[in-house]
Amino acid sequence: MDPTGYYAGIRPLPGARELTYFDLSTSGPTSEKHQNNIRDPVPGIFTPLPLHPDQFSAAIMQNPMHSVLPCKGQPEAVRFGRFASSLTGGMYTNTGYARHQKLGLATNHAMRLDGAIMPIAGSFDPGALNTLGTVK
Amino acid sequence: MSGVLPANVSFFMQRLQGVSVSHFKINPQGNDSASANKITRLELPSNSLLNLRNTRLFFNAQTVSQFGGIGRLPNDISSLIERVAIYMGGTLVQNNFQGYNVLCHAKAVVEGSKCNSVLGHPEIVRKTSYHNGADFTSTSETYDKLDEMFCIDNWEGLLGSLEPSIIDSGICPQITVEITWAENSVCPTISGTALSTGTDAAGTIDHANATPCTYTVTNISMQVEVLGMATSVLDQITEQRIASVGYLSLPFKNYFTYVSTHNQTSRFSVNSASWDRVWFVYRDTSYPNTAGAHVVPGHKIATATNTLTGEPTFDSGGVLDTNSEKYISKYFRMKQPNRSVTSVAATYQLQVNGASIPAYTLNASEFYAITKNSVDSFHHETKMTTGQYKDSYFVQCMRFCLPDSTYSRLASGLDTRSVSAQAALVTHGLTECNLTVIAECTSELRIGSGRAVEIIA
Repeated sequence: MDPTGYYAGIRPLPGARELTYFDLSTSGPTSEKHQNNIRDPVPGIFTPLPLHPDQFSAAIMQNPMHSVLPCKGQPEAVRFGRFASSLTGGMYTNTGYARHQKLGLATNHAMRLDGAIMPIAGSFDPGALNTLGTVK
Repeated sequence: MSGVLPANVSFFMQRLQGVSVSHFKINPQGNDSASANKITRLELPSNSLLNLRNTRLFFNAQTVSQFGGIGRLPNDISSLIERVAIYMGGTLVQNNFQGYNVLCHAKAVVEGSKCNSVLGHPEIVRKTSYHNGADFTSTSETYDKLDEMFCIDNWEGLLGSLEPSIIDSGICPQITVEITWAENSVCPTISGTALSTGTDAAGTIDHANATPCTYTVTNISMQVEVLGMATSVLDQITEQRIASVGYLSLPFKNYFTYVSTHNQTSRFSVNSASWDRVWFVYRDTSYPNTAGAHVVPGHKIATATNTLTGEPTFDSGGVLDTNSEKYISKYFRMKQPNRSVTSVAATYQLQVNGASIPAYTLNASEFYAITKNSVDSFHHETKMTTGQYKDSYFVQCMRFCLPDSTYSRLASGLDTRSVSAQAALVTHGLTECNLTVIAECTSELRIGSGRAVEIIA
């Protein structure tokens, strides 16, 4: 009989037995979840505790493990917010705006550069194709 | 050991026996005289070794007064040629581009003039001709004697750039040179032969007469150097090459012109397998009007105390060779357009298929520096000043190919086939002007068996 469960509207599973005094003591390993096949007696017991929030923010609470900076600076120990780089490092040739060029920032994808080339007319009969070919 | 020693200490020579050199004189088809806008056709010898670099066009030239105007021939006699087309059989090989004379003047600014000072009429005559000593004080310039002929011996395009320059004309169809003569306004029409006063006064060389003069050319002939070799090695090499590859490849410079009234943006398109350079020539929109000669800044004009011999205007001593008279035809006066706002320098930028070239806008000085480095020339400018450049010689050039490509027969320019490059010159801060855009391309002439030809533009 599980009066608490009954009052809460829980119907016992088939074959469940009534709690006895023995069920009030801890039995077996603590990791065992189901005590009596009825319900979780301690909901949330296995939910890990959240980290405790800092009582003070870093701005007002200095980490005591930090050392005082030496008077004579150590350049290699100082990290700046931005890596030093060449001012002209981003400059490179415009490319990609004519046939056979390597595609680049100058490429306009709305304009196809590798389309078919018009055949050249023959020198004897302009209605026939020239047999000497053309450059691809 | 001879292989490792330099030539100046080595003993060696080569011998090629059986070479014969001669010259042919070719008369034009039809009339041997012409006037403005007329066409002259000449057929080159069809079965000989032609030295195309040594092709000379001879003619007499006369200016003709109309209602009191005094005619003068322009500086550089190539100015009289508007177009040069070259046909092989019925196939157009050298594009019949407009503004051949403009291209000659533009190249002369950057690469140095190739005008022959003896036969090429390099300067405008004010009063006394340096060509035959005649006094043209009140008459138009006229040279009608056979030993006073002019000669054009340097050619832009196929004749001046085909490689190899000596070709056997027997392997290709009949070569025809078609010359279109320029309009009359390339010749200055002056109202008098007095020195300029700088105020456009009547009776001076820079003042225009109301009615333009005309010009005529007579006794036209073309003379070519023809060679003969006793050996048949060249013929064998030609045959083998055609048999193994299928054709001979002969690169040459081809030009395409676009003329527009420029106002901020001028668009043009180029369709070529190797677009090497683009030339921009700026002229006033009134350039084809009747005009007197233009005095190049710095050179002599009349002063109040010196009306007869004048004084240079870049100080009376005349720095940078300005202590002389120098005139150009206003038709070829290439002038930086006026600024929209006088205090703000104009900028120039080129766009090809949407890409900005260069990535920053150029001012006139920056573009001139690029222009000088865009040509394969060893001409070192030492006399032209910035003022003269902006007033009389304002030409810009941008190179797209590797430097010295021309000498190494290398077609390394932009390949714009199948899309026909959409290009534009974008300027800011300029007033309206006439813009002549000349696209310089390397075309490939392919000659196959049976005199078949093909042009890869």
